[in-house]
Amino acid sequence: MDKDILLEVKNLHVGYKTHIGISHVLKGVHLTVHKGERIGVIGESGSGKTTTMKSILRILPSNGMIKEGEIFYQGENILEMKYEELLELRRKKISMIFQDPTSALNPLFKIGQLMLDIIKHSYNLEESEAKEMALKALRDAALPDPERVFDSYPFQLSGGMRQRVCIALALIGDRELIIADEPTTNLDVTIKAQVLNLLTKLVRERNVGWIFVSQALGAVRENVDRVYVMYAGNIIEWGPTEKVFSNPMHPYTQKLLECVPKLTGTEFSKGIRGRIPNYFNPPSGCRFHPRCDFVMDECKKTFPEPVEVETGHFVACNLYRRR
Amino acid sequence: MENEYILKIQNLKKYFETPYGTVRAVDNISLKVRKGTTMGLVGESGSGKSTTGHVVVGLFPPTSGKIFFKNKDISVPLEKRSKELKKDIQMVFQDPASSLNPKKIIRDIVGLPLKVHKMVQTKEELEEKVAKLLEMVELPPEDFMYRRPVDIGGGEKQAVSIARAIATNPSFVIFDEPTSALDVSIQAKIINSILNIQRKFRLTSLFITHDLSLMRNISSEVTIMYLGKVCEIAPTDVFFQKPLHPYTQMLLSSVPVLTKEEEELKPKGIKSIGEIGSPIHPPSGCRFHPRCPYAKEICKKKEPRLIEVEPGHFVACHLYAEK
Amino acid sequence: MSRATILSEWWKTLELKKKWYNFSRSPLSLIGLIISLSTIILAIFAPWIAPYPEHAGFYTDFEHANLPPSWQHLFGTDEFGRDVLSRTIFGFRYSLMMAAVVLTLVVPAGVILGLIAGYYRERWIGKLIMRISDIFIAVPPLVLALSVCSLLTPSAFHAMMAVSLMWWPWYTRLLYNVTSSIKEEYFVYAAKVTGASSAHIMFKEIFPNAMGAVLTKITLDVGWVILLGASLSFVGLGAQPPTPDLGTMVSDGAKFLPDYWWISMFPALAISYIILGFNLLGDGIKDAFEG
Repeated sequence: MDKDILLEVKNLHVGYKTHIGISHVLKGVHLTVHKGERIGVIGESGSGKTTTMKSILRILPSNGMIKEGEIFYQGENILEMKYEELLELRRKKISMIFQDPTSALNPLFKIGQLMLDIIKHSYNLEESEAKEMALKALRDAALPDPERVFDSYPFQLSGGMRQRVCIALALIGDRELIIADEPTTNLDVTIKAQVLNLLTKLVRERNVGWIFVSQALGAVRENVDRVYVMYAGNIIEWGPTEKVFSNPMHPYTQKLLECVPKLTGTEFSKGIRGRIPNYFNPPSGCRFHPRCDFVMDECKKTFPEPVEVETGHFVACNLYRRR
Repeated sequence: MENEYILKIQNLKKYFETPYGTVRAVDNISLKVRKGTTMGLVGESGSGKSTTGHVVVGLFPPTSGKIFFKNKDISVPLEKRSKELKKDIQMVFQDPASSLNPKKIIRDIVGLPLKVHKMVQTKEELEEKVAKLLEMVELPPEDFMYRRPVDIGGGEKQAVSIARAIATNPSFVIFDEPTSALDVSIQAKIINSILNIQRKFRLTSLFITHDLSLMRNISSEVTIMYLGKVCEIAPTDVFFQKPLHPYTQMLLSSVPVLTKEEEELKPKGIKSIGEIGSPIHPPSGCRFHPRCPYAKEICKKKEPRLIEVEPGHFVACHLYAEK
Repeated sequence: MSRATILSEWWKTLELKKKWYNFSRSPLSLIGLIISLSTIILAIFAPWIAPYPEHAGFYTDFEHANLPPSWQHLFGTDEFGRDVLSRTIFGFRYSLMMAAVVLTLVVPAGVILGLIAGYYRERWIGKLIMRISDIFIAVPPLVLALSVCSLLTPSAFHAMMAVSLMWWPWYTRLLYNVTSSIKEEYFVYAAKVTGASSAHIMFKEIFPNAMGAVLTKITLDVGWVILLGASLSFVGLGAQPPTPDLGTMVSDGAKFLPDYWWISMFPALAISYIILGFNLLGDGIKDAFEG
């Protein structure tokens, strides 16, 4: 086995129990993160990105169930971990940055208090040492005047600053993997750029693994090494960022990229016909087949085996299987 | 010559009194929209772009300043506007979830303007007209007419909003970030139906957004706002070739892009720094000066005036005032 | 057209199904529904269900007075020899009638005032309505009802009027809160922009969104109105003997405590039974509308 592998998700199937039945969201998701590698996961809302990330940390809501699959973190299966091991993992190894920095920070406590609690619990440190660590984390997150931020309540900070605080929290100690679930979606354009630059810089400096989940294709393209494209609970294409974006192979990836308006004013497509499938009764075979322009008979029957079209660039589509 | 402007905003101010102080949401802006064109209004949060839209449509009366629509002064409270005027100016709002009454069926939502303006007499007539409107936004009437907003997706909700806005056959429609909450593939669909409708009805519109790439594809002219002030107004093509205001440049350089051609359009040598100021205590002089890499002494003291640097291209910046 | 009607019906049933699912998810809501339905059925069919319907009014049979619970008289008999079970069943009638009369008066008035106050909250009319309702809310309900009742001759009708007088502000306040938040929703803006009248916006756009909250409150209030009515009767300001009012029965029986405990205990339990039932039902309705 490759020693460099930090996280490996294999054949993950996850569903949710609801009042109309079971929604089969993830169907065989796989994902590999190497040490210090920056990974992008793109897909539209409802494609299962967040479900995948929550499964990795085992923080699915109570009606979520992992039906099948394995998630290895440095060779250990997260899904078989005991509660204490899991806590250790969440406290010291993997951290997550959420979409909404406002609800991620408890409004009743000062930033300093929040950070101290987390640090003291995770590392068993004295108050003064913990404070030193917290201030350093805030400084590293490029927050101007960290002392003042340390003494502020979340509502006294702007959205951008709150997200920086979350980043600071996520990077405390020697984390090995950061999962950022749409970390900049709620921020303004110029602030978004600042926060992403900061995140990329920190991730690079510390050589930690980073999974960047986002719908913002441009932001993913500019910040990660490898990218996974998700559609309806499947990974349908993955590979080095430049290759996937300059030479998209899967019909869905192609269409998705065409939908993004361009600064150059090149006309963009009319969207993708149909809508994301209903997970209670998902389409058979390739889940994209009802919306695909190149659909063939076999697409309706079996989920296509991934094919390596160029070095490191895989696509799961029957169009490429024949060769 | 003057007649070709359908909307003229002159020295418009809109202040809101709050417990924390006066919010100067819109602070002395002037702009004109030509008949049959789309004016793009771009800015980040706190720029006053949405407030401008709300004041034009009459939801709030202006604090001071005038708005002329078809050469008639419409800077009066909504109750004093004539029914004819209300028929002629419509608006599509930002949040699809809040735009449609969750307790009503789509037929009644789209049919409301028709009933208010007595454009239909019987139920059959209403259903017929609503069906036509739904077809125009590419929603099959049979499937949608009797559903409630909770049963349909975000993009479909926004399409219903658009159908409602064009029900009275208005000549001017304000689109307030109609796609900011949607996925790109759905955004593409909605934008395409907006473009079709604009063409078909020769609509004039004000298109409010924070997305410059989208703006490029939709508008003929662009107005950039920052903290309640207009920074720059230019025809779209000129704007993307020659952005003048430092804020505009910063905004453009912050847009994540997908292709090399787009990257070439992004201004080099400027990076996003600082925080967006507060509209309650805006910075003195030029409101952008604390973030501006080219700020000089004068920028802190004197507010720059909007000057025409070339035909149709206006900018409010001291860098260009001296020439 | 027929196909359209079918479609529209289909969506309606689907919605009802969802509401029922949300409601029935909790067994407590179902228990509440059963209890509430049982009281309503007992109240309506009291003359046929009660073993001794003639005992509801003037009736004396001193031979069988103060008998403890037995197979003959499940809840025992009172000091006049009347069957407590029969009187309790008839008591449901008066209690539910009280709730029905009070709520029919109070809900429409409170709702309309609340809608107006919320919609015009910045204007004088909204402020006036809210200040008046504040005054009523500031006085403890029982004290207000007691003082009104003591001014008038004690009767069931006057008790209902007194309870109504102090109950409407709660609906006004509920609607005020709902309206002031919903009026900032974009769909209300859209209706305004297109020129819809204020009445249309209040009743057709805003009110349907408050329906769930209103229904929940009505259900919860049934119990409280009954309790307040019973309290008034207990102190002698409500329904007068020999009306089989639960409050009056508790109060009359209290004289014989603890020896003849059944005379007041069973009517008291009956009051708890109604209140419990409607409270559980109210919680269920809340779930149904919110889920």
